[in-house]
Amino acid sequence: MDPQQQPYNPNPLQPQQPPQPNIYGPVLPSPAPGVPPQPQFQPPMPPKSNKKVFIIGGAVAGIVVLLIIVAVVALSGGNKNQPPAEEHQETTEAEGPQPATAVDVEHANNSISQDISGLNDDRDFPVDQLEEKTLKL
Amino acid sequence: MKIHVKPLVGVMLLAALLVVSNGPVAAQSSPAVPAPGGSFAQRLEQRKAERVIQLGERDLQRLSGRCIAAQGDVRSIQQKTGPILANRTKVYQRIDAKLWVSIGQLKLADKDTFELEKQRLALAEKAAAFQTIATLYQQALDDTIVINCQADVVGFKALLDTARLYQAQVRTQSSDIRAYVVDQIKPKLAGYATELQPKPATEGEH
Repeated sequence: MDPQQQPYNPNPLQPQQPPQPNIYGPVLPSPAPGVPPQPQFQPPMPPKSNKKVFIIGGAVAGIVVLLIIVAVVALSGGNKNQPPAEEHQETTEAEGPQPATAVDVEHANNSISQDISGLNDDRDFPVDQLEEKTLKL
Repeated sequence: MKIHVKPLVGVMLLAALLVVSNGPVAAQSSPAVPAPGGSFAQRLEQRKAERVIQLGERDLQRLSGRCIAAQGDVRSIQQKTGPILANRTKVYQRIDAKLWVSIGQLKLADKDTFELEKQRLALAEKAAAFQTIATLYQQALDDTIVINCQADVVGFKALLDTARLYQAQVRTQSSDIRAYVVDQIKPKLAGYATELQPKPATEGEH
């Protein structure tokens, strides 16, 4: 090779580095003066794949947490419902009709006496209420 | 002597006839139940036909001059009577409910409740009859208030007499119910209470 044809090397002791490839893609030509700038192509950003992973992982974790909560609530709810059912049975047994006792019947008799004695025909329907004399006819 | 007796008998018969025609309400026939859904005019004609009111000129004038004020008094009575009758119905229903409960409890205690059940049914029928009469009484009061009494004095008097008759029936039915409860149902319940009293322990059991 003819040395005159070789490029200029300021440090002849070190071999000249070959030109490095552009890792950011081809260099776009600069716009001509007077031409509006065109939108430049932006390469895909590597963090996007991480976001997807985070979203999917979060959703899975949320579903798992929800399932756990549902299971806990179902188990605890089932345990809680049992005692009231027993209480209900007890109350129905307590409030249900019981065989009459002397006191019960006497109480009912006295109560009926009070009801009937509270009615006063002379007060509610006076005999002369509609007489011509009362109505000044 | 015979000459004096005959005029006396004639006068007595005439007096009896007058008493019957214009006598007290209690002597009059019971008013019939009007057709359901009938109009005021139909009821008015029915009452006039039932009561057969005959008024002299003086009575017509007197009633015509005073009937509007009397209608005001009847209106006041009507307004008081509504709640009273409603309360009666409630009381009878309450007694009926208490009897139902007692009958159920007595059955559980292995007591024969046949008689008490019959009494409860009879009381319920009496209460239903009271309700029917009360409704007719209120209807008669309403009709007495709404009639143009000065234009139809005879109709007004017929309606007022009808209301008076129904009021008497209300009193009678109420007294009947009271008597039935006091004389029939209460002693029966007292008998059950006596039966259910705990028997005193005999000496041999000590």
